[in-house]
Amino acid sequence: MADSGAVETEQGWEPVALYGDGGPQWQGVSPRLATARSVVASVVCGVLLAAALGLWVALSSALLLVAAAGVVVVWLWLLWLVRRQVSAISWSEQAEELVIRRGRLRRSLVSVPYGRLQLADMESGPLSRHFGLASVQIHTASPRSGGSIPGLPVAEAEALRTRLTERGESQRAGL
Amino acid sequence: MSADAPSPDPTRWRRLHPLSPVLRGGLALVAAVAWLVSNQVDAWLGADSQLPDGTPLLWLGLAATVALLALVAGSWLSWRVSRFRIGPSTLEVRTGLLLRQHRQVRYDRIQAVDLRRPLLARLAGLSEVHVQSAGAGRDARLSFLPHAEAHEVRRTLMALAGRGDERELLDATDAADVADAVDAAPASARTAPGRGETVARVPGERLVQAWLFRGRTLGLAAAVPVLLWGLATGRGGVVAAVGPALLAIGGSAAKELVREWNFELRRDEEGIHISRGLTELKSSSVPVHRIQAVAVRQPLSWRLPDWWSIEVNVAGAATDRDDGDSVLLPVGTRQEALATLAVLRPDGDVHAVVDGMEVAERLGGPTASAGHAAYVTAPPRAVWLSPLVRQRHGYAVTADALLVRGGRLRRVVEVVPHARVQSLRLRQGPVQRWLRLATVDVLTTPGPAQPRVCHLDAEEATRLLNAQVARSSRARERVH
Repeated sequence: MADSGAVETEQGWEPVALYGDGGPQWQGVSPRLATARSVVASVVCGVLLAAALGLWVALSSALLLVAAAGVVVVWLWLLWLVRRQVSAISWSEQAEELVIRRGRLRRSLVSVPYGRLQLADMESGPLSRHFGLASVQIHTASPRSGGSIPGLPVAEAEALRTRLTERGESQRAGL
Repeated sequence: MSADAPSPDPTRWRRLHPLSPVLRGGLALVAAVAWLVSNQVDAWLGADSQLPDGTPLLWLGLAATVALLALVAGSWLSWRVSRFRIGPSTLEVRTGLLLRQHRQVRYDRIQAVDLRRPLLARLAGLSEVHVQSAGAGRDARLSFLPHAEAHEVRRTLMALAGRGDERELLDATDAADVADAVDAAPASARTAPGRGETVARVPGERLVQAWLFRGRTLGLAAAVPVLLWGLATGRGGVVAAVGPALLAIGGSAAKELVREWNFELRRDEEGIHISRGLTELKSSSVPVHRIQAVAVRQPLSWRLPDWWSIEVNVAGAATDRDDGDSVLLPVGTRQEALATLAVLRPDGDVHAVVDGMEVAERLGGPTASAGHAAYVTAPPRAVWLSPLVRQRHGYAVTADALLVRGGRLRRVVEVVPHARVQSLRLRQGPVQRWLRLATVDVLTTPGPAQPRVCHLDAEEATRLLNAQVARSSRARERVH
C-alpha cells in the first residue's frame, strides 16, 4: 500500500473537497487489514458452525441445522462487510491537519490539526504483526477527539507516526 | 499565627496550624475522642453496669487513655514534622514522620490555588490552601492555616504562578484596564486583599427557586406522594422502586444547593474569583486562560424569570462534575449572565449569544436579528429527523468564536473560541445521507460544553468544517 492510495471517486465524501483545490489525496489502508479481520470473523464463525454441526450430529435436531445455515449466512455477510468497511477507511495528510474518514453506512470524518496533537502512538497486536500491520493512534487534549488509522503496513505506520510527531511539535499549540 | 503576617522572609520554612491534624482527622477523630471521654466518664461515675467485674473496665479505660495519648502525641508529631516553604522556584511541602514526603510544586506548573474551608475548620477559623498542579497527583494541600495566612499564601502563590497566565489573558484581550491591572499585579499581590467588583451574586432564594423549577424537582414532587402511598398501603415494591431514586435525586439536589449557596463571582485586579458553599466555603480563581468552551443554558422553567446558567470547560480540570468547579454562574439574571460573559471574553460578541438564546423559535422566523451574527440553521428537510428542535440547531461565527446553539425547551448556546477547537468531526448516518444532512461535532476538552451542530445541510457542514479548520489555525497562530 504505497503512496498510490486511490483518490476516492465514489460519491460519498467526494463533495467534501477539503480545501477546494481538487480534493485531497486520500490514502487507503492496506487490504491485508481486511484479511486479518476476516480471519477473526472466520475463527468465531467457524467455531460456532462446528458447534452447531457437532450438536446436530449428536441430537439430529433440524433446528440446529437451521442455526448452522444462519451462521454460514452471517459469516458470508461478515466477509463482505469487512471488505466494505476496510475499503472505506482512508486518511489524508493536509498542510495543517490529519483527516481520517471511515464507515460506509454511518460515515464519519475527523479532522485533527497537527498543532493539537499531544501524542501519536503505534500499536500492533499479534494478529496484526503476523500480517505486517500496525495502527497509528492520535491523541489530543480531548479524549473524544483524536482517532486511529488501523491497518497500515508497519514501515508506513512508523513513518507516519514520526511525521505526525514532528509536525505536532513544530505546530504545537497545546490547549 | 496571623500575627506574623508581615512576613520578614517569605521563603522561610513555616508550620501549619497546630490544630491541623485534629481537623484533618475530622469528625471521626472528634467522635472517637468524644466516645472515649464519655466512656471514661461512665467508668469514673460507676454508672456503667454493662461490665459487672471491674478489671476489664479498668483495662479498657487504660487502653482508651493510652490510645488518646498516642493520638495526641501522633498529632503533635505530625504537626511538628509538617512544614512548607515558598521557595525560590517551588512550593515545598514536607510531611510524614516515618514515611517522609517532600513534595515540590513548581510555580510554572501551578494551575490553580483554591481556598477551602470545611465546616470544622471554619469554626476554628482555619482554611486549607489547595494548590492544583499540572500533571496528575501533583496537588499540594496546606491544611490548615489561619484564614489570614492562608489568604496571604494564596496571593503570594498566585502572584508567583499566575503571572504568565494572566499575561496570556492580556495578549488575548485588548482591554486596557486589564492590562494595567496585570502590570500592577505583582506589586499589588502583597497588599491587602481588595474585595474587587462583584460581577454576579446568587441569593439563596433564587437558588432555591431555580432548583424548585427544575424538571427534576417536579419529578421529585410527583414521586413523594407515590412513595407515601406505597408506605401507607405497605406496598414494598413501590417503596423499593421509588425510594432509592428519590433519595438519589434529593441527595444530589441538596448537595448542589449546599455547594452553590452564597455563590459570588468577583472580579478584581488579579482576575476572576468565585466563592461559594454553605458548610464548606470554597474560594477559587477562574483560570480564564484555561477555559476551552462556555455553555450558556436556560431550562424552560427559567424562561419567565429570564435566568441563565453558565458553565465552562476548563482544561486539565478533573472530569468528575460533582465538585462544581465548572459552574461559573449556577443561576443568574440576564444582566449577570451577560456581565459574566463579558468578563470571560472581553472582546467577545455577547449579542450573538443573546440571539442564540432567543431567536428563531417560530417556524419560518428570521434566523438573525439586528444584523448580529447570523445563525446558520438546519434546513427544513431536517424536520424528519428533528421535528421539534430543527429550528434551533445551528451555528454562528463571530470574530473570535464559534457559537453553537440547540435545545428547544432547554435552550443552550455553546461558545468555543476559534483558537480552542481541538478537532472537528463530521458524521452522517444512513437517514442523514438520504436527506443530504450531516452533523458536525466540535470537539473540546472534557466538560459540560460539548457543542454539536446537528443535521446541517451536508454541503453546509463540509463548508463549516473546512472554514473552521482555517479559522482555528489562524486564531492559534495569533494567540501563540
